[in-house]
Amino acid sequence: MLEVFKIIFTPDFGFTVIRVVVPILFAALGAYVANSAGIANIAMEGTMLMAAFVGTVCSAMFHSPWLGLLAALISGILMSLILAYFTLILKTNNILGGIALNLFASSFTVFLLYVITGSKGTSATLGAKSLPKVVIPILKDIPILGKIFSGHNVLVYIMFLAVFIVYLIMYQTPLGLRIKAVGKYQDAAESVGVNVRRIKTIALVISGVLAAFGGAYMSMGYLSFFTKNMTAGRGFIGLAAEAMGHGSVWLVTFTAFLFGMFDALSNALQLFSFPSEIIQTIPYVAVFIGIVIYSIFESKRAKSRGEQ
Amino acid sequence: MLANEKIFEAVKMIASLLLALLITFVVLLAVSATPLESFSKMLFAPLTKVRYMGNVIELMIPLSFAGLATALLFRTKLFNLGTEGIFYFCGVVTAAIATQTFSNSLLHPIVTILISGLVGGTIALIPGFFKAKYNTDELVTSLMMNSILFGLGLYVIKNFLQAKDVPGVASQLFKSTALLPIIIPGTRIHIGFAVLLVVVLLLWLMLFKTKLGYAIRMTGLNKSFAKYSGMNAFSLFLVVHFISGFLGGIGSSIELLGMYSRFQWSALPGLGFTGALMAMLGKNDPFGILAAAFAISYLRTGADIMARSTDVPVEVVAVVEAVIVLFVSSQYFLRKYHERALIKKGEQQDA
Amino acid sequence: MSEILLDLKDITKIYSNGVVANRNINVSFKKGEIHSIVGENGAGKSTLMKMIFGIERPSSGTITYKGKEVHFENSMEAIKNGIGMVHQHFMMIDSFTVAENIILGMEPRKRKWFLNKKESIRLTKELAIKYNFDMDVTRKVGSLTVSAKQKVEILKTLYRNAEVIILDEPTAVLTPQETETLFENLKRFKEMGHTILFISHKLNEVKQISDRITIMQNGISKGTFENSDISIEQMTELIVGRSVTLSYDHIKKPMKNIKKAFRVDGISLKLKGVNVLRDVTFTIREGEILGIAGVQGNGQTELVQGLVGLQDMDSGNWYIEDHEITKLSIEKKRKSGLAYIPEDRMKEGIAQGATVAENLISTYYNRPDINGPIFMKSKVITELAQHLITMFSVKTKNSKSKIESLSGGNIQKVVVARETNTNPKVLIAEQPTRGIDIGSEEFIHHQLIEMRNKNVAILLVSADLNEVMEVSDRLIVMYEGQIVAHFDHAKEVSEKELGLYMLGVKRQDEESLKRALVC
Repeated sequence: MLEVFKIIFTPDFGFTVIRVVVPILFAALGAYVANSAGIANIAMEGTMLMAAFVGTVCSAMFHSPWLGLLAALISGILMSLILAYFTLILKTNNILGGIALNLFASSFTVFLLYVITGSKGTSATLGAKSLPKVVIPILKDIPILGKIFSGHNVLVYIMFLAVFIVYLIMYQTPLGLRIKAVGKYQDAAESVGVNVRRIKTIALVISGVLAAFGGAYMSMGYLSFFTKNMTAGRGFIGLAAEAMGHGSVWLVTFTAFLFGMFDALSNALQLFSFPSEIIQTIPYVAVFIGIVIYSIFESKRAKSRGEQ
Repeated sequence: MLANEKIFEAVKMIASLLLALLITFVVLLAVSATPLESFSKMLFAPLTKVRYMGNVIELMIPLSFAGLATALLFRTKLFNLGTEGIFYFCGVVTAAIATQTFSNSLLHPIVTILISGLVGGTIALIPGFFKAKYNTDELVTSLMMNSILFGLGLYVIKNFLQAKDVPGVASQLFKSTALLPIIIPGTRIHIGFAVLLVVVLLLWLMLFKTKLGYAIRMTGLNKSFAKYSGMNAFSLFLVVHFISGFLGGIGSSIELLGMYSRFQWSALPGLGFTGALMAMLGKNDPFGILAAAFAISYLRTGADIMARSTDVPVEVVAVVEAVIVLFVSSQYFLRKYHERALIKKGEQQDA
Repeated sequence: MSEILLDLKDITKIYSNGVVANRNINVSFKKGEIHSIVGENGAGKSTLMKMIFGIERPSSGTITYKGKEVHFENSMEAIKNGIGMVHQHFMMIDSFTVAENIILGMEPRKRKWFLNKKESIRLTKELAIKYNFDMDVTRKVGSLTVSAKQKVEILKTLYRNAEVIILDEPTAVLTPQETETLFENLKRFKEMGHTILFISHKLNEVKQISDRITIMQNGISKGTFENSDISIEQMTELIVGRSVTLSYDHIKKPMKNIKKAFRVDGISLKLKGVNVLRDVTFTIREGEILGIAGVQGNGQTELVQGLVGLQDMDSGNWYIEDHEITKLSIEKKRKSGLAYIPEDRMKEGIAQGATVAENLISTYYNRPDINGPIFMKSKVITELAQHLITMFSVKTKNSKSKIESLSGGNIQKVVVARETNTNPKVLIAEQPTRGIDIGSEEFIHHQLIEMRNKNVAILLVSADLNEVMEVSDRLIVMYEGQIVAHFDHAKEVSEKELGLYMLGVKRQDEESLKRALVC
């Protein structure tokens, strides 16, 4: 037990937490934007996976991880536009549409992987370059903080920036105000001339871009290649984080970090003799318990307002 | 003619299928050196040999069970995708019992399958309870359960049931008394297929001929109406979850005992999510799901045969599946033709 | 004489389901006047306003605004032209501040892409002061009182430079004091040159505030009058005057029972600070129809929802034949003998995707006579369904047709057939003939009376005066959550007098009311 504590309260652990939280937080931010507009983006997982694949493959094709990142972002936009088309225009149920897109991404990435590399497991043979790590000059010399915050992949810093940008958009721009209005009371927004369909599409596209960042990180930052189903449910953990941080970008970020911590914890614990399969379930158990507690509170709150 | 609801749905399905095949063909053009050959292999190869059709039927079995399990939930507007985890974990349960010595080769599989089902049903009650009582998002809880059950199941296999002489995740051999017999010689189609047909019938009967089924259907169609009529959503949610988990459990068990000699799944088999696909295509109707499972199984088998003899990987079938599902489950696809037909019919009737 | 700002000529609106909401309406609105439009529910006032505001388009007729003929495709066009509407149900986002709600869609910008929050606050504060609304624009709308929320809705229209402001039943949610304040404000707006269109059914208020009054009944205009030229009594007569007289006396059996079948005691409910129901008490005897007359929105809906178990009440008890059913589940209430025809048949009364037969059995689907040991007896159900279809003359191919293919009247017949087939002791019928054809309406009334003759106690809630006067034996009137009048015999009161109670002009004294209600 003591060893466990020794591991958690170290700067290395802090570094690891930040390292693993990236896809979760990007997914959570994406879910936050989409949910704020009242349209849950269940396809986050598939969008991330697609972006992970497109990113590293294009990075290899163009010999540039930055172009790979760009391609990944474009793929994220495309996935969202497809979801928007089916959900908003053809009126497919958005949960079913999201599930279908996730299944599609799961198989299609393997399909393309095989076609391009001849392997169904990994794209390592492409030798794609990953995005660079960044050492921040003065920060790196600060004790403890330097070890935690310096030396990460560039996408980590983009992630911190993304939190701030999402905050700006949602709280400081007319777009953010309209997104929230559409999500909370669509008719009220429409009655003052807000184009609901356009706002929802924009929200989905933003969430797609965020998901794409998260996916690109997996294959070009965390690792430097694509493996089948490598997102491993992180998109859904992001969704859960958003559900619990309901409505506040800071709470969502905090919850995402919480889940990231459990993820890092499970990584760390595997060094011990605890059975790895059980340890690996820790983040999911944490999310499960979290969302149950959250819904108990919500349900009690709704009852007191006479809504049940 | 397009005004008739059923005919319109069928037209929509065929149109979606054709659209999907068209898109797939385009993909093949881009990717394969022999697109026409690959395409026709995918579409027609299963029909060329009895053995291939046998493969179609074999694959149909677990797909159907997954579809039935998910459809029951979808019908009640519960977006629970937990069949995946239940399938895996009940597989482990099956392995645990099937590797024990039993003298009776009739009882062994029956007991295994039943216990597997009961375990599945009980597990499914967990997200079901929280949904019923606290309205906990069943999408998130079920997805988390999938990963948790996978971890637990893997742990049990590795530490209690692992065969020492086999590399990778593998249980010991199932005892021969547990295995399911093959019912159609020349194929690998096992008695599980007959069980499936019986289950489909029973499910259909339950859904459309019993008061439980009636309550389930009404709650799914209009929750306010069900509440107004006095139906109890809480207990219904629990029952639906249990039955769904039970179906997943027996589906998993039947698949293992019919097609495998030991448990070797090192990852989630992916049947749970495909189950959602079946449910959407089959419109949550037991027979519809059987048909959808056949169709998807046919496509997958065809793709598999194609993959073995061409340069196209089997995963191309995902393109077909996704496109079909997206169009079939949309409400507005081709809708204006339906509405035009309805207006015409209305005018004719008034005249 | 001030100019005519808005002129409606020969406006007719027929909905796609055949309902004629407005017929040949001719009315004009002058600049700088407060013009009230009065009438009961269903008179067509809301529809008329929707057409002015662009939410609906007239089937025929012209609307001329500032001398030019206009055809608004949507409310945005109306807003751009200076017409604003304050809806009865507020269109605001509770978690946004006052300022945010007002500026949404027309946000002041900072460096093109950002919200200029300081400017939003300044502009809205300025606006509030200009129109004498004392308001903290940084407060969240959800924390405001209803009258404050209404002020925000009004400010929304003024922010968009509305010259014509339509208010739809604005005082329905206000206390008397708040109403006074609103009227002061409206008078000020008038002085500042705005034109106010005031929709209401509360005649006292209308008389207080209006310059001119247009009276609507059953989709037609009964005329526009100068306030000084018409009295409240005259208005009531025009509003309430019945054109079709139904009579069911000849089929009503004389009431012989004095046994109390349904007793309601002291039901009160407060929602969001407003007293929606205040100590509602009454009794219904076996074989008696008690009608609740009243304009919709005076608590009737909440009362019924509470009685059947769909909404929790703050206090009160109710009994079927001395058995208290207050806390029972909906299922158990029904098993105790309660049946309910809901006012929103599409939302609660039926399951649209199901067949007629399936809809006919929903409230007693687990009864032993239609269930075997395992399966439901489909033959028995089909026969039962067919029997009910015949008995109620439901126009449908057969019991297996999907219910959504039926007309409104026939759907309602299905609901009535189902509820009456449970052999209830007490039947609550809420707006049972709203929006259906006359033939079906009469049929349903006959059914209700037949049940009455079979000793069922019936609570009839209806905003249709015809219906409630002809079908009921006894009558009570609800106004603002309270029972304000009771009549032992529905025949003993004239429609004019009933109208006065319904429209809040008169009320009976509490003592005699209490005695009569507990009978």
